[in-house]
Amino acid sequence: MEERNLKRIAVSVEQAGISVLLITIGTVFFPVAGIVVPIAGVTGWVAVLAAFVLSLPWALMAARLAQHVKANDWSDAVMKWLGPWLGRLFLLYFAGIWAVLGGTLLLQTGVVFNNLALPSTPTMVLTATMLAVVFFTSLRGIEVYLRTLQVLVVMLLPLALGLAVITFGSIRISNLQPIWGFSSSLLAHAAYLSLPWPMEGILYSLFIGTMVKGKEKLALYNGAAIFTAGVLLAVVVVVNLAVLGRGVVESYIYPTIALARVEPSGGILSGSEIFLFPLWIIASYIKISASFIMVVASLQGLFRFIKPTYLSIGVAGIFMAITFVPRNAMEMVALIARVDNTFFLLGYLIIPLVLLVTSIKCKEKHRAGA
Amino acid sequence: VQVLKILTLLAFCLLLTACWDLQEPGDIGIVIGLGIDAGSKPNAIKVSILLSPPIGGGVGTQGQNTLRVLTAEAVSLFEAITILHSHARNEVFFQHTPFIIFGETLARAGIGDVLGDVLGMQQLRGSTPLLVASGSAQEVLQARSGVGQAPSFDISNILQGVYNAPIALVTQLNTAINTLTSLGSELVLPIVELVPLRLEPADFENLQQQDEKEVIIARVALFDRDRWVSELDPYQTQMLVLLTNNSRQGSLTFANPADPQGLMAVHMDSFRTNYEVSVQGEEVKLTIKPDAGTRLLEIRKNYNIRERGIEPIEQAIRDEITTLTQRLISKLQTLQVDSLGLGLTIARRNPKAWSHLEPIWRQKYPEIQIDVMTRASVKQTGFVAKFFNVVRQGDK
Repeated sequence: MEERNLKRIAVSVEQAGISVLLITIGTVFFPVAGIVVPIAGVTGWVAVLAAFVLSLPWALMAARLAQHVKANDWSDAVMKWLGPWLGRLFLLYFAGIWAVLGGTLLLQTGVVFNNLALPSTPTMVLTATMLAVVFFTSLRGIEVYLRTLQVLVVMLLPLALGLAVITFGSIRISNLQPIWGFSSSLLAHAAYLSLPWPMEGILYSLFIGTMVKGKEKLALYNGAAIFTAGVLLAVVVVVNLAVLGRGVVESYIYPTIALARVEPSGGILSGSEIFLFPLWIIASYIKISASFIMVVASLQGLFRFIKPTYLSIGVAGIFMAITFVPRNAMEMVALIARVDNTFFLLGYLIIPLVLLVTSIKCKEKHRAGA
Repeated sequence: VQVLKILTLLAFCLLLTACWDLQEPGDIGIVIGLGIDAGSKPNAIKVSILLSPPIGGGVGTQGQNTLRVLTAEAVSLFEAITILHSHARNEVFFQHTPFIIFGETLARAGIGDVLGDVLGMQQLRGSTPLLVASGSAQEVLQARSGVGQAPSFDISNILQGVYNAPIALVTQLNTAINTLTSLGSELVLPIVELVPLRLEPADFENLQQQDEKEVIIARVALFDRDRWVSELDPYQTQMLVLLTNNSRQGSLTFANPADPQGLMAVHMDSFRTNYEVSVQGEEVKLTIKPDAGTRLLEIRKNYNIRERGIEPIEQAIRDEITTLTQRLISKLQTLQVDSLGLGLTIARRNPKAWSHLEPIWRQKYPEIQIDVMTRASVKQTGFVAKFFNVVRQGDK
């Protein structure tokens, strides 16, 4: 029992909040404008904000579920919510969607960095390198990962600030006009496409919430993290539009890359890509590591007979295998969109159902106890 | 095990030590000017690059001998660049390219396709200014500098000066893409012209001055979508730049209100243009409201400010700006090119009305009623109490 307690993961609610914020933003800040602007035009940022605000009840539900359970680990918590069979099914779904997303994001890291900075270096070398870092992070455990995130935040802030300062001079307010000029149906469509992003953060918050010590403020931190992520991503869309203009934003898969290239060459700030490269690598590391850790933790519940290290090696193999599925950048983006718009969107149905099942079970338990 | 893990990680880092992407600064050819002309065969383009290998002092007085213009003809931009790689003998590098210039023939035929190719060149910055050559872009890149530096720096310097003096409009690559991917405004690009070299810098050895040309920019080309259809003279160019709020300064010369034989000149310290839009059904009414804060610089012939006051001068400024604006609008409406971006102004102010006007804008634009309401004030008259006037026999 004592050994078990020692092994129990202890995460503070602040750590959980920061990690939910970072994972929700993840690498979304690169393509976000390119996805919402072609549909909702200059009001694309409203669509992003609306999607994140709409998802807040689900963030609170995830916190409620986490508060509902006292468990040793993630899979234990899922079994307690749903029972052994439904629990296994849920773990399989959870591991599956994060594996596909994580693997595709791993490929995206390599593809983008290959295009941005190292065109001659094979993409596989870049993805394999990132996978190695992610793999060793996973071996060190979730607590080390969360502490790493705290350090990375300190690095991310000056990088994001540097990029903001560089782009500030190129802002054209007229690019944001008309502030309201698009039909509500197009806005709703763009908001619908934005809904998977907060759900990624909510599903992660469900996972990390089960390990948080002192869950009284978990709902507040979850909600604040998701809302802040929504505000920051809306700001990214606004800056993309204000600096680049609608036509340019619509021309790129990742318009944020073009942001770093708005300073005229020869100027003192013309090497602004220096802020973008590490920002991309750190954001990718954060999201892929989280995916990896969640997949390993979910599979541990299904295959308890396999040692965690071997399981991690297997997951690394799955991630690497997924990187070979899309043949080009367009297929890669389409795969991410497909996973997001189907399986992650399903989270909006699954979380209330899990909460319902848990509540029913809880009531039955109380009745039986009475 | 710990050491093994660290070593494995380090080994992966070694894979990234530029085994593939190793680029020594001396091995890359920095492109300091990109020119695109129409090719000799249909659908072909001729791509010229002004190359400055960073060897032997780089660009500048000492680096003049290292400057080279290489040209390749191909059916696509990337094919041409591939050919240029072999000419340059090292990798051509576009990240510091300060401008892209299109040849006249290509610009008159349409630059849309080539712009699409340029968009795919990830090294080029969205802030790269676009220009058109009066003639061939290749010749512009081959021109000498009038002030003893790389010719492309002349163009860059002129473009920088544009922000203070409205001699041309700087249109960046991103702006061109935004303009061409929506309706409601048209492309305007500065025209680079070649004139005989006026200076003979001492640091140019064996310079055959009579054959040498240098660049100037004083006019702009008007585009109908991606085709160069007409151009504005320097005075009309200034008006266009001011009316599109791309510069806040300019100069104005007009008839002396006291003596029409004489002239007056003011420097416009602050010029701002506001637009008022009124749309009722398909009836569009636009009011352009230029507002100029000026400084009186020159008075030719007699005008006593103490006696006549400032108001007649301000009225003359208002009349002159109104006349110039109306002439420019008339020219643009006749050409059917919305270079002032009036459609875009409607789209931004009244998107609902624009959704109806957008499909018929091309037919509607030449007919719309555009009023001009100018405000002008003389903020400063300087410290000259009485402007210079030659006294002649018989004068009072």
